[in-house]
Amino acid sequence: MSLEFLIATAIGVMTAAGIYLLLRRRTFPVVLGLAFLSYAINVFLFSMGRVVVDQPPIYDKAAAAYTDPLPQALVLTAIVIAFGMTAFVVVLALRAYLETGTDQVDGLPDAGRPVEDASTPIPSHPTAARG
Amino acid sequence: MTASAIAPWVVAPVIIPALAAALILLVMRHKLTLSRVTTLGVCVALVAISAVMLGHTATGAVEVYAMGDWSAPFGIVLVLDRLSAMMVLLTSVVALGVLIYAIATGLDRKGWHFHPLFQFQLLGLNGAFLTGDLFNLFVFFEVMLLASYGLMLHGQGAARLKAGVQYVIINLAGSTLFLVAVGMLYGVTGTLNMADMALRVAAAPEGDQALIKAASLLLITVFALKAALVPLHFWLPRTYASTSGAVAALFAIMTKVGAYSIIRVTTLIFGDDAQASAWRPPTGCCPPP
Repeated sequence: MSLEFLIATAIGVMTAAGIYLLLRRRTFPVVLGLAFLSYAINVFLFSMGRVVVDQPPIYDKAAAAYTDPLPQALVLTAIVIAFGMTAFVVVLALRAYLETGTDQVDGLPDAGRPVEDASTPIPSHPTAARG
Repeated sequence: MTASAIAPWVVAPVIIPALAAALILLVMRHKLTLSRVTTLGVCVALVAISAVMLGHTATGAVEVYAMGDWSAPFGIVLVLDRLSAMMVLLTSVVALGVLIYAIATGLDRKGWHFHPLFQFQLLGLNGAFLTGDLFNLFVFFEVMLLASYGLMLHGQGAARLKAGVQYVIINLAGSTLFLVAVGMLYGVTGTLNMADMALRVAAAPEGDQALIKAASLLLITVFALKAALVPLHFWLPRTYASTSGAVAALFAIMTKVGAYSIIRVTTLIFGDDAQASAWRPPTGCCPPP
């Protein structure tokens, strides 16, 4: 199995998981989905400098080949921004839940929960999100 | 004014709000009058600077400021031309009006950090209008959006928080798409400087055309989301309706960043020279040659 296949599969699986979670109704899975998407994008950006193994990232006359350092700098920026955004959206979701009493992204009331409980994983339950 | 005299001032609409925001946040957090005076002063200065800039570019002059003196395709450049000067002036004028209204109605007293957020918002807006680098455009987009989340939620309230969650999530999803498009374009062209990318796109081999086209359409989609163009506008009414009036007025210029980016990208990078990925609006009758 080649490295390219592994990276492509990882990006694909993470993007698929991210999109699925992003379309959930409660905020916690949505936040997880955004995190998954940003991981996928980070790996994608990284691979845009081509997959090069064991080469220096700085141009050197002695080196026959080198890897592109720019995507690594971009990924670093993207990681920082995604991290800050995730922290912000977690706080915002908690605050919105505490003030409005609903954990639904579309803002609908949380009154009848039985259908939800069967389909959504336990961490997305509002009482779990509080702790 | 000579060309060399105005070139260093291109960075002023970015650096002045950045410094003012830090200053207000660190020194005058609890001094409302002082921070009001500072923000007002910055807004008036920005109007003056951008008016001079617009006057300078009216002849068609283009000013380039290389950040940190790194030369063009390697470093990040700020580019001032007629369109960006016009947008920066528009931002400054709207910001001044919004600020006066916000102070007069006491909106800035309803929560913490209104003035630093306002400055960061101006920093993001001006930066997005001035930058000549695609990844830098993403960074300024994020600065602008992060400040807008704070401004949008300023004053709290359940309805505002409810709409805020949706606003933040849709913009975060949009930002990930932006990164995909930038990554694809970098992977194909090997550059992030917009002018340099235009040359590379024009000279791209046959095999890369499909990738460039996909990336360009993705980029347009992201900008359309930020500009709230019709199929992607669903986030806008609830956001603008639930935030305060003054902030909504400032946000009016934020959607224009999306429109501006579409204009910039489609004319510069995906212009007539861009072979198969040349993007032109569907005129209905005439298919592209």
